Amino acid sequence: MWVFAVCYNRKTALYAVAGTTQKKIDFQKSALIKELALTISSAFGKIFATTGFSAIGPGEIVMILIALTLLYLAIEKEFEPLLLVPIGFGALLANLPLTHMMSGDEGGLLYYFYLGVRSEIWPPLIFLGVGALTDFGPLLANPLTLFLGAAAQIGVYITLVVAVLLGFSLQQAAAIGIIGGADGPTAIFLANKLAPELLGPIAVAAYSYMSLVPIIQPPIMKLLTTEKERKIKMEQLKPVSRELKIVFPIAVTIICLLLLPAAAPLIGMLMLGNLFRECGVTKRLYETTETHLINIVTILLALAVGSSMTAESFLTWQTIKIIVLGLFAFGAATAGGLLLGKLVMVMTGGRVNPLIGSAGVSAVPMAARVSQKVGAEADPHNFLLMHAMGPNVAGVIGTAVAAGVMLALFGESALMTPGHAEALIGQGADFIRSIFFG
Amino acid sequence: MENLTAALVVTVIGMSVIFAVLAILYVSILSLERIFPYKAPAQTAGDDTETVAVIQAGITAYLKRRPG
Repeated sequence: MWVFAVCYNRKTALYAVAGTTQKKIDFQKSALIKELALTISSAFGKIFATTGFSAIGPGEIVMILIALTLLYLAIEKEFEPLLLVPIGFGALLANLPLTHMMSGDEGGLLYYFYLGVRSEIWPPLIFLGVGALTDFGPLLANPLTLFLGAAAQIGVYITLVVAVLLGFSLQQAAAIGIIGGADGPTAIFLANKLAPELLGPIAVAAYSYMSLVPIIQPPIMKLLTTEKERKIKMEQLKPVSRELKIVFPIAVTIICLLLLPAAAPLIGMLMLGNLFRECGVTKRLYETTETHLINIVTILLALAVGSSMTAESFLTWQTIKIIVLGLFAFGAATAGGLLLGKLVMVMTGGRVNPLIGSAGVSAVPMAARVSQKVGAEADPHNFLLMHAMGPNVAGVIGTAVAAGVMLALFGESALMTPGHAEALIGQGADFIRSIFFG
Repeated sequence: MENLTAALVVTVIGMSVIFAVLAILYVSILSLERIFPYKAPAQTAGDDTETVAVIQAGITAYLKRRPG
C-alpha cells in the first residue's frame, strides 16, 4: 500500500513535472512555430517583393494582353510575322515588371537594342537590305510610274493636316503622317527624330497596316475605278540594260542627296544595297545584305520597337488617335495613287491600268500583289504584277524623300515654324500679285 | 490655327518637292536610257543550229578522210 502510494505519488509527481515540462515545451514550441511562421512569412514576403506579381499594375496587364494579341495575329493570322513576333515579344518583355530589360542604369538588354534606334543605326541598315532585295528594273522600264509613287505620298500630308486638327504638334503630326508612306523603317526613323515619345504607337500602326494592305486597299480600289478600267491590259515591259541598272542607284544618290541631304541615311543605304545587287562584283556583300544582315537587324529593330511599348507611353488617347490616323493615311495614300493612275490612263489613251497607282504606297511587294489580284479579279488574263512593281519601288523613294522634306522642315534646324509659315504665305501672295498686277 | 496654316504650307511644299525630285529622276532615267540602251545579247555559234550543223559536218568529213 505504502509502496503503491509512493509509486502513485511519484507517478503523479512525475506526471506533474512532465505536465509542466510538456506545457513548457508546448509553449516553447508554439513560440518557435510562431517565430518560424513569422520568419517564413517574412521570407515569402521578401521573395514576393522580388517577383513581378508585387509590382504589376493594371497598365502592365493591359500591355501584356496587347503583346499577346500581337503574337496571336502574327502566328495564327500570319500578319507580318517576321516583324510582329519580335515586336510582340519585345512588348511582353518590357512590360513584365522588375525585369529591368529597358533600364539603362541596370544594363537592360533591350535598352541597348533601343540605342540602335535612338542613334539611327537600325532603320538605315534595314534600308541597305531592302535595297539589295529591290529590283528597280520595272521602274526603269516605265519611268512614268515614278509619278504614281509620288502621288501616293499625298496620304502623308493629308494626315499631317488632320493630325494637327486633332491637336498634335507639327513635329508629332509629321511623324504620324509618314505612316501613310507604308514604310516601317522610314516611319521609325522619322518618329525617332521628330516625336520619340510616339515611336511605339507609330511603329505598331505602320507595321500593322502594312500587313493589312490586302484588306484595306481593295475596297478603295474598286470604289475609285470602273470594271472597264480594271480590265485594261498593259504592254509587256521593255528590257533594261545592265549598265542602266548599275548607274541608276548612283544617279539617285547624287540627285536626291544634293537636293535633300537630310534623306541621306535612308536613300544612301537603299541605293548602296541596290548597287551591291546590280554591280555584279560584290556577290558576297549582296548575299549577306539581302539575307543575314537584314534578318539580324530586323530582330534587333523589332525587339527595340516592341520594348518602347510601355504602359505609360502606349496606353494614352494619343495612341488611339494614331491608330485611327494611320488607317486614314493608308486610305488617302491609296486614293492618291489611284487618282493619278486614272489621270495617266487618260493621258496615255488607256494604255495604263489605274490599279497600278495604288501600289505607290511602298509596302513592297504586298501593294503590287494587291494590284495584280484586283486586276485579275476583273479579267483573269490581266497580269499587272511587274507593272505595279514600278510605282511600288518608286513609293519607297518617294517616302524617303517625304521623310527628308519633313526633317528639313521640322528637324533640328527647324526651318518651319508657325511664324515662318505665315511669312512664306505672305511672300507667296506678294509674288503672285507681282506677276499678275505688276 | 497657326499650326494648321503651317501644316497646309508644309503639304504644298512637301508635295512640290517630291514631284520635283521625282521629275528630275524621270528626266535622268530617260537620259541614261539613251546613254546605256538595251542591247540584245549577241548570238554565239552555240545558239546557231545551222552553224553548229556545218561545223559538225566538217569535223565528220575531216575524221573520215584522216588516214588511220
